Amino acid sequence: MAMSRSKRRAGVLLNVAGLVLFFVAFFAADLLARPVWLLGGMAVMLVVVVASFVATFWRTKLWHLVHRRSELLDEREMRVVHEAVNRSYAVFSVLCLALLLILLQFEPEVPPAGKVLLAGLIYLAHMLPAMFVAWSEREV
Amino acid sequence: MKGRHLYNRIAVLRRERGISRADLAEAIGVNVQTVGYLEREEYNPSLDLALRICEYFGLPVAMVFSARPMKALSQELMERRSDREE
Repeated sequence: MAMSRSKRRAGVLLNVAGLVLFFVAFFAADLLARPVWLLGGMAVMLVVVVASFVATFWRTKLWHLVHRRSELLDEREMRVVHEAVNRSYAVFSVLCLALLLILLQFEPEVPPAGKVLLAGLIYLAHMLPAMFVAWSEREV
Repeated sequence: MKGRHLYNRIAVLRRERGISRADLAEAIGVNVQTVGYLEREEYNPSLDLALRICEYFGLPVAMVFSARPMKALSQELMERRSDREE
Protein backbone atom coordinates (compact mmCIF):
# COMPACT_ATOMS: atom_id res chain seq x y z
CA MET A 1 0.00 0.00 0.00
CA ALA A 2 1.49 3.33 -1.11
CA MET A 3 1.81 6.15 1.41
CA SER A 4 3.21 9.64 0.86
CA ARG A 5 6.56 10.50 2.44
CA SER A 6 5.03 13.20 4.66
CA LYS A 7 2.50 10.70 6.02
CA ARG A 8 5.23 8.11 6.56
CA ARG A 9 7.34 10.66 8.44
CA ALA A 10 4.34 11.57 10.60
CA GLY A 11 3.87 7.85 11.29
CA VAL A 12 7.52 7.44 12.28
CA LEU A 13 7.35 10.44 14.66
CA LEU A 14 4.11 9.15 16.16
CA ASN A 15 5.61 5.69 16.66
CA VAL A 16 8.75 7.01 18.37
CA ALA A 17 6.81 9.57 20.47
CA GLY A 18 4.36 6.85 21.55
CA LEU A 19 7.23 4.57 22.57
CA VAL A 20 9.09 7.31 24.50
CA LEU A 21 5.91 8.45 26.29
CA PHE A 22 5.06 4.83 27.12
CA PHE A 23 8.43 4.39 28.83
CA VAL A 24 8.14 7.74 30.63
CA ALA A 25 4.68 6.72 31.89
CA PHE A 26 6.05 3.30 32.86
CA PHE A 27 8.78 4.81 35.05
CA ALA A 28 6.40 7.46 36.44
CA ALA A 29 3.87 4.76 37.33
CA ASP A 30 6.57 2.95 39.26
CA LEU A 31 7.40 6.11 41.23
CA LEU A 32 3.77 7.20 41.84
CA ALA A 33 2.41 3.84 43.05
CA ARG A 34 0.65 3.11 39.76
CA PRO A 35 -2.31 5.53 39.61
CA VAL A 36 -5.12 4.43 37.29
CA TRP A 37 -4.93 7.52 35.05
CA LEU A 38 -1.26 6.80 34.32
CA LEU A 39 -1.97 3.15 33.53
CA GLY A 40 -4.72 4.37 31.18
CA GLY A 41 -2.20 6.71 29.54
CA MET A 42 0.18 3.80 29.08
CA ALA A 43 -2.56 1.78 27.39
CA VAL A 44 -3.32 4.71 25.05
CA MET A 45 0.38 5.04 24.18
CA LEU A 46 0.58 1.32 23.46
CA VAL A 47 -2.39 1.64 21.09
CA VAL A 48 -0.66 4.61 19.37
CA VAL A 49 2.53 2.58 18.94
CA VAL A 50 0.73 -0.47 17.54
CA ALA A 51 -1.57 1.59 15.26
CA SER A 52 1.29 3.68 13.85
CA PHE A 53 3.37 0.52 13.37
CA VAL A 54 0.60 -1.20 11.41
CA ALA A 55 -0.15 1.87 9.26
CA THR A 56 3.40 3.03 8.62
CA PHE A 57 5.50 -0.12 8.59
CA TRP A 58 3.28 -3.18 8.14
CA ARG A 59 0.76 -2.14 5.50
CA THR A 60 3.39 -0.34 3.43
CA LYS A 61 5.57 -3.49 3.64
CA LEU A 62 8.48 -1.40 4.93
CA TRP A 63 8.98 -3.81 7.80
CA HIS A 64 9.14 -6.68 5.30
CA LEU A 65 11.63 -4.78 3.14
CA VAL A 66 14.17 -4.25 5.92
CA HIS A 67 13.79 -7.82 7.23
CA ARG A 68 13.93 -9.64 3.90
CA ARG A 69 16.98 -11.74 3.04
CA SER A 70 19.41 -9.73 0.90
CA GLU A 71 19.23 -12.31 -1.94
CA LEU A 72 15.56 -11.41 -2.38
CA LEU A 73 16.24 -7.67 -2.75
CA ASP A 74 17.20 -5.89 -5.94
CA GLU A 75 20.27 -3.64 -5.99
CA ARG A 76 18.37 -0.38 -5.26
CA GLU A 77 16.48 -1.96 -2.36
CA MET A 78 19.75 -3.35 -1.04
CA ARG A 79 21.30 0.11 -1.11
CA VAL A 80 18.27 1.65 0.64
CA VAL A 81 18.34 -1.00 3.38
CA HIS A 82 22.13 -0.76 3.70
CA GLU A 83 21.98 3.02 4.22
CA ALA A 84 19.15 2.63 6.73
CA VAL A 85 21.04 -0.03 8.70
CA ASN A 86 24.16 2.15 8.63
CA ARG A 87 22.31 5.13 10.12
CA SER A 88 20.44 2.92 12.58
CA TYR A 89 23.72 1.50 13.87
CA ALA A 90 25.05 5.01 14.54
CA VAL A 91 21.85 6.23 16.22
CA PHE A 92 21.39 3.05 18.25
CA SER A 93 25.00 3.06 19.46
CA VAL A 94 24.80 6.70 20.57
CA LEU A 95 21.45 6.10 22.32
CA CYS A 96 22.59 2.99 24.16
CA LEU A 97 25.88 4.51 25.24
CA ALA A 98 24.23 7.77 26.33
CA LEU A 99 21.67 5.76 28.33
CA LEU A 100 24.44 3.73 29.94
CA LEU A 101 26.32 6.93 30.78
CA ILE A 102 23.21 8.47 32.38
CA LEU A 103 22.51 5.32 34.39
CA LEU A 104 26.11 5.29 35.62
CA GLN A 105 25.73 8.90 36.82
CA PHE A 106 22.73 7.97 38.97
CA GLU A 107 24.40 4.95 40.45
CA PRO A 108 25.80 5.99 43.88
CA GLU A 109 28.72 3.61 43.88
CA VAL A 110 29.90 2.83 40.41
CA PRO A 111 32.75 0.35 40.41
CA PRO A 112 35.71 1.50 38.29
CA ALA A 113 35.07 -1.48 36.03
CA GLY A 114 31.75 0.12 34.99
CA LYS A 115 33.47 3.22 33.61
CA VAL A 116 36.15 1.15 31.92
CA LEU A 117 33.45 -1.02 30.34
CA LEU A 118 31.66 2.09 29.03
CA ALA A 119 34.90 3.44 27.55
CA GLY A 120 35.47 0.05 25.96
CA LEU A 121 31.98 -0.01 24.46
CA ILE A 122 32.41 3.52 23.04
CA TYR A 123 35.67 2.38 21.43
CA LEU A 124 34.06 -0.81 20.08
CA ALA A 125 31.03 1.00 18.65
CA HIS A 126 33.38 3.40 16.87
CA MET A 127 35.78 0.73 15.58
CA LEU A 128 33.56 -2.28 14.72
CA PRO A 129 32.88 -1.28 11.08
CA ALA A 130 36.61 -0.74 10.44
CA MET A 131 37.34 -4.07 12.15
CA PHE A 132 34.95 -5.89 9.79
CA VAL A 133 36.56 -4.25 6.75
CA ALA A 134 40.05 -5.07 8.04
CA TRP A 135 38.99 -8.68 8.61
CA SER A 136 37.27 -9.37 5.31
CA GLU A 137 38.78 -7.23 2.54
CA ARG A 138 41.76 -8.38 0.50
CA GLU A 139 42.95 -4.83 -0.26
CA VAL A 140 41.95 -1.49 1.22
CA MET B 1 31.51 9.45 -3.49
CA LYS B 2 28.34 10.82 -5.01
CA GLY B 3 27.79 9.46 -8.52
CA ARG B 4 26.96 11.81 -11.38
CA HIS B 5 23.49 12.02 -12.86
CA LEU B 6 22.87 9.50 -15.64
CA TYR B 7 20.24 10.03 -18.32
CA ASN B 8 18.36 7.16 -19.96
CA ARG B 9 15.64 6.29 -22.46
CA ILE B 10 14.06 3.44 -20.51
CA ALA B 11 10.63 5.09 -20.22
CA VAL B 12 10.52 5.95 -23.95
CA LEU B 13 11.66 2.49 -25.03
CA ARG B 14 9.23 0.76 -22.69
CA ARG B 15 6.25 2.81 -23.88
CA GLU B 16 7.27 2.48 -27.51
CA ARG B 17 7.18 -1.29 -27.18
CA GLY B 18 3.98 -1.38 -25.15
CA ILE B 19 5.55 -3.10 -22.17
CA SER B 20 4.24 -2.60 -18.64
CA ARG B 21 6.54 -1.62 -15.78
CA ALA B 22 5.76 -4.93 -14.11
CA ASP B 23 6.80 -6.91 -17.22
CA LEU B 24 10.02 -4.95 -17.59
CA ALA B 25 10.75 -5.36 -13.87
CA GLU B 26 10.29 -9.12 -14.11
CA ALA B 27 12.43 -9.38 -17.24
CA ILE B 28 15.39 -7.50 -15.75
CA GLY B 29 14.99 -8.97 -12.26
CA VAL B 30 14.10 -5.94 -10.16
CA ASN B 31 11.13 -4.62 -8.20
CA VAL B 32 8.48 -2.52 -10.04
CA GLN B 33 9.36 0.51 -7.88
CA THR B 34 12.95 0.25 -9.05
CA VAL B 35 11.81 0.55 -12.68
CA GLY B 36 10.02 3.78 -11.65
CA TYR B 37 13.20 5.09 -10.03
CA LEU B 38 15.19 4.21 -13.16
CA GLU B 39 12.69 5.87 -15.50
CA ARG B 40 12.65 9.06 -13.42
CA GLU B 41 16.48 8.96 -13.42
CA GLU B 42 16.50 8.98 -9.64
CA TYR B 43 18.66 5.87 -9.45
CA ASN B 44 21.83 5.02 -11.37
CA PRO B 45 21.88 1.28 -12.13
CA SER B 46 24.95 -0.89 -11.67
CA LEU B 47 26.80 -1.94 -14.82
CA ASP B 48 25.22 -5.40 -14.54
CA LEU B 49 21.68 -4.01 -14.41
CA ALA B 50 22.39 -1.48 -17.17
CA LEU B 51 23.62 -4.32 -19.42
CA ARG B 52 20.55 -6.42 -18.60
CA ILE B 53 18.30 -3.50 -19.59
CA CYS B 54 20.20 -2.98 -22.86
CA GLU B 55 20.07 -6.72 -23.63
CA TYR B 56 16.34 -6.70 -23.00
CA PHE B 57 15.77 -3.84 -25.45
CA GLY B 58 18.39 -5.22 -27.87
CA LEU B 59 20.23 -1.90 -28.03
CA PRO B 60 23.80 -0.78 -27.38
CA VAL B 61 24.48 0.93 -24.04
CA ALA B 62 25.06 4.33 -25.70
CA MET B 63 21.51 4.27 -27.09
CA VAL B 64 19.96 3.70 -23.67
CA PHE B 65 22.26 5.50 -21.19
CA SER B 66 24.26 8.70 -21.31
CA ALA B 67 26.04 11.09 -18.97
CA ARG B 68 24.62 13.99 -21.01
CA PRO B 69 20.95 14.85 -21.59
CA MET B 70 19.64 12.58 -24.33
CA LYS B 71 18.13 13.75 -27.59
CA ALA B 72 14.98 12.21 -29.02
CA LEU B 73 15.76 8.83 -30.59
CA SER B 74 14.56 9.97 -34.02
CA GLN B 75 16.80 13.04 -33.91
CA GLU B 76 19.83 11.00 -32.91
CA LEU B 77 19.23 8.48 -35.69
CA MET B 78 18.89 11.30 -38.23
CA GLU B 79 22.15 12.86 -37.06
CA ARG B 80 23.98 9.51 -37.25
CA ARG B 81 22.63 8.97 -40.73
CA SER B 82 23.77 12.39 -41.97
CA ASP B 83 27.21 11.84 -40.32
CA ARG B 84 27.57 8.61 -42.31
CA GLU B 85 26.52 10.28 -45.55
CA GLU B 86 29.05 13.11 -45.22
